[in-house]
Amino acid sequence: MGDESITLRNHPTVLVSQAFAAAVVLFVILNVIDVVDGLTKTLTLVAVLTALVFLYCVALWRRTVYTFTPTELNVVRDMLLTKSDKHIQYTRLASVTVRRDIFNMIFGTSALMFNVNSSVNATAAEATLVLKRAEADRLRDELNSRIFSKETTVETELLESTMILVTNRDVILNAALGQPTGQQLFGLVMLIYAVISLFYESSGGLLTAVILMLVSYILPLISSILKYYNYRVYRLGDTITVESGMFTHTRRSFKVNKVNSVRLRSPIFARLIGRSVLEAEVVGMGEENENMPILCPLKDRREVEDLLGRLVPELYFEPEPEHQPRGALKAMAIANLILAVVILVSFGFISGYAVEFADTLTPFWSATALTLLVAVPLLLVILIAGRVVLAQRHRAVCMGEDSFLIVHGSYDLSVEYINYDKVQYTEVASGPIGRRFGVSSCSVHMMSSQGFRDITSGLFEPGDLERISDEVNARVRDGRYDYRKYL
Amino acid sequence: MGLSTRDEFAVDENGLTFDGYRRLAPVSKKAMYIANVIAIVIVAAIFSTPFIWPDVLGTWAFPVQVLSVVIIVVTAVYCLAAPEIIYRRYRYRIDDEKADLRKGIVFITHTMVPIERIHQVDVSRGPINRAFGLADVMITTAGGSVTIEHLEEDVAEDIAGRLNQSVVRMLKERDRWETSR
Repeated sequence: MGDESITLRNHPTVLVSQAFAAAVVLFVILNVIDVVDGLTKTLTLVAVLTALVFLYCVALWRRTVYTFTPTELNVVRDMLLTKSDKHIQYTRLASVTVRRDIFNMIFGTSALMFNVNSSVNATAAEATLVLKRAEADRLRDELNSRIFSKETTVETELLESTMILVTNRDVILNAALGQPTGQQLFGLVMLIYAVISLFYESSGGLLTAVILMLVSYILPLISSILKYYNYRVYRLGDTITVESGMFTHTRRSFKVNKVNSVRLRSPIFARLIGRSVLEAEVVGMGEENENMPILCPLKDRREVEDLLGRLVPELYFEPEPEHQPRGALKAMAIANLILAVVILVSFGFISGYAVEFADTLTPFWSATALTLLVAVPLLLVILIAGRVVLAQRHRAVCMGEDSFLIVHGSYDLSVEYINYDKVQYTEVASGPIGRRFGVSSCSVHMMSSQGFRDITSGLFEPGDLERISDEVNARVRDGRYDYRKYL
Repeated sequence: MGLSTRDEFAVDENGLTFDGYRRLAPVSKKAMYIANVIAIVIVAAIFSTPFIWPDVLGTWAFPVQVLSVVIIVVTAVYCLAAPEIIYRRYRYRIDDEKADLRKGIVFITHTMVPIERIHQVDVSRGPINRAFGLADVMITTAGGSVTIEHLEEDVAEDIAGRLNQSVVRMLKERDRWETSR
């Protein structure tokens, strides 16, 4: 590319993949709405509509050009009725992701996805360009040297060894136990429900339980395995690269200065076997359909902490966490006691009415309903009590030099290292019970890959929490914060 | 400063609290009362339906009616008491470093927005605010937005102007740096 501009167009094979996707969607829709009789007629209609879509895609392809100037990427799409002219400065790019799906593998191409460091449209790549694999690799190398000041090529990256050995067994364990505790419990409850329904030959109940378990637990599990299979992570200079994928191989690179925060997340079942997931909040990792990109799937907690220290030392420090004061335990105990009483009274109220309807149900469902009306509130109360104990034991804050630590959650515990310079604003809040015991919580508002997100601390003295905002302002005042570091 | 000190709501002759915060103008209470009365009417209209069509609910009619009455009463009490409490507790302060806002009824929040993080500042006037010469200032950052509500129009314009000037000055400095690279 040098100092001259080059103009490119998507590889023509994108037309094949777009037409195929359109044909599949049209076939499904026509079958669902059932407007055409017979398979032949359906297929004919699909073929005609796909041809129209194909013609539109050809027009779109012909009229969309990508120009790489020395300073920016210019995407021009000049259609009959609309014209768009998008300028993406290289300095605004957070990451350039290489993605290879089944079609890319068949046609020997790669998709380059350009993600901008912005909370606006953060969940979609700003531009996507499909090129022959060698050409895509060459272009990415050149862009990397401009965006990330990285001189390495794809060939050398492929030889770079991973900073932590993640076996496919780890990936499968991550898929099974790395999901949020609530999701895992729901999947477990549905499994039990399915077994009971099978035992009592209730086909409706079995089908509902299986579908709910599939959607809430099994599909995310399979998706996670496919996504993180053959996992590698390494850092070259200031650029972190994460590679993985079974059928669709993805290589995501981002500069370390685009990382807002990193967190060690441990759902309860993973914590019981001493494992954590390492995730990073990177604005601009826009193609992800998840909250935070994973830097390390579920591994032994000490190994993950060690990786954090080596991979993102800019944010990591040896914490001396300040745990919640005794007043916080009292405040949480009273608030959760009120919640428990409300739950018990509500279930008592519902039970009173449910008994009247018990006679109208079959003996099995009548017994099940009454058992649930007793078991569910008791289980909820136990879970609430457990939450208070876990929260008091683990929640903490700690102020470091360039970042600070918030340990939040209870069953799903997160140890989050946050860059002061990425904090947008803070909100210290106290409810009536918290005020009685002199404790507040602090919400730290950040930009995120999904737009924006809040990280909320446990309960501490308000003055301690306001120090976070004071430090953010002090860094701006004395020049420790320099926006140029984050371009 | 903590969230509960003794005379934190008292103001001096300049309209400032002892720690330099400003309070809302008394007329803001009227605007809040009118908005809340409208809210009460809407909630009452929605939750009176169990009394109009009790047959639809069958045997559940009575508990739903009780619940509806509770919701209407709680909403009414809250909406009628809220303006006075909001007015007493609402305080804001804008300095060279940050915009500071303290407010709340049940939950009291202290929001601190560093000026450096502000992307955009908007002044908006709804029909009720306009009738009382009031306006809201919405401060937008990359992590969300914060609104200072029910300010007198000239105060809102003054705050927005000052914040906008800071944002423009910051952007110009950055442009100068980027063109000099």
